[in-house]
Amino acid sequence: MINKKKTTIFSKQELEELPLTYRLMNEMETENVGELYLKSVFTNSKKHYSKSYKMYISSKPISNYIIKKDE
Amino acid sequence: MNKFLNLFAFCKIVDGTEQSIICDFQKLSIKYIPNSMVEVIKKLQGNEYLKVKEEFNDQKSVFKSYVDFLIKEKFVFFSDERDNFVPIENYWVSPEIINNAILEYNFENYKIEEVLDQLDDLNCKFVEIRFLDYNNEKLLQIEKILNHCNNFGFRSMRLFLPYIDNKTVTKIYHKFKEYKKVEVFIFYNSPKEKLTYKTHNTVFVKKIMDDIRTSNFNEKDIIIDLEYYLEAQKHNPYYNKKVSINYLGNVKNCIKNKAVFGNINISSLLSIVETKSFQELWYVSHDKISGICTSEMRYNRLVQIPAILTTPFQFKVST
Repeated sequence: MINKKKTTIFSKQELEELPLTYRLMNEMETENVGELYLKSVFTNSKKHYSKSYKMYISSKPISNYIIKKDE
Repeated sequence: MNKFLNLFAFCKIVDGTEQSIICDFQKLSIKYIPNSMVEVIKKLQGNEYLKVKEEFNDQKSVFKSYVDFLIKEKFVFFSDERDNFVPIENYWVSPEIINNAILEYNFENYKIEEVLDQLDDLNCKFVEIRFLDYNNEKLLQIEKILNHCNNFGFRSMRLFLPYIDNKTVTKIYHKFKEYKKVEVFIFYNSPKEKLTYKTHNTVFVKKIMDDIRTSNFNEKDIIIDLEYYLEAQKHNPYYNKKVSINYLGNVKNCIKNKAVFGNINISSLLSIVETKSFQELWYVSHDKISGICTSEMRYNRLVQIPAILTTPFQFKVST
């Protein structure tokens, strides 16, 4: 992927002191990046069984009720 | 040879007035021990084994029985090193501004989607929605709410719904089972009771919502969890980073407490939860509550009843 438009957050003086790879870093708007450009927090990948890992319960009870899952 | 007798990092000792406990967070077990054993363990953590053994020369049999017990229960191990085995610091921090929320909703008085947006902004992880009303028209609204939450950072959701009949329960279950973030559907005011779930994440309780709202945690239940223990050092784990909103949109620190800190229709959630008055109970750790602070089980218990200040830095559970 070729980035035609490059903006850097580092000044010229900073870049002189930083490793060379910093010159290749680009600044992008967070809202345009999202997660892998999908703009979603959780993926729905079937290959990775994402749906099975979406949910986890709190280690402490939140509610007045304790619901026990059968072993 | 074996210079030091080290306590495993996941074993924590909590001392009480009459006795103490060793909490094993790996095996998730608790063992009661006499306070005299705590003294021996503390000395063993600070000094070489043989030096401590010499110190207890006049009580050899007692010392030996204590050491044998600790080894047999696998709380300790011999090693020539000490510095390499660093204990787990009693330090807890989390990025959420609000960790969990309980919302009562009867499809009027406030806009729940806006509240859920605000909760997501506060990095809330666990949400419980208690629907006070239900009919077939509301089914679509509930679906809309769940769709709205799909890409939020919530890690689990619980839904309370009034029981209508078995056909409705089946319909709701099949309609919403694809929403994997929903941990459980709890049908209240039900003729039957089923408090456990295996394959179908549906639970039935006989209680009505008024009783659910005012219920208290069973004091016999204890929690053996390292994160809970660490949080309990400086915070009240039940109240810490919790927010509740009743069906009128009133914001509370717990759904059953009377104190109201604002209304969601008037102020933003952030402006209410970041006030000192709202957060007061967050920092009332069990060490500060009289009657509980001397209990060896204080970091394993859940204290739901609000505490009131009696003297500076000391609270008591309000009646």
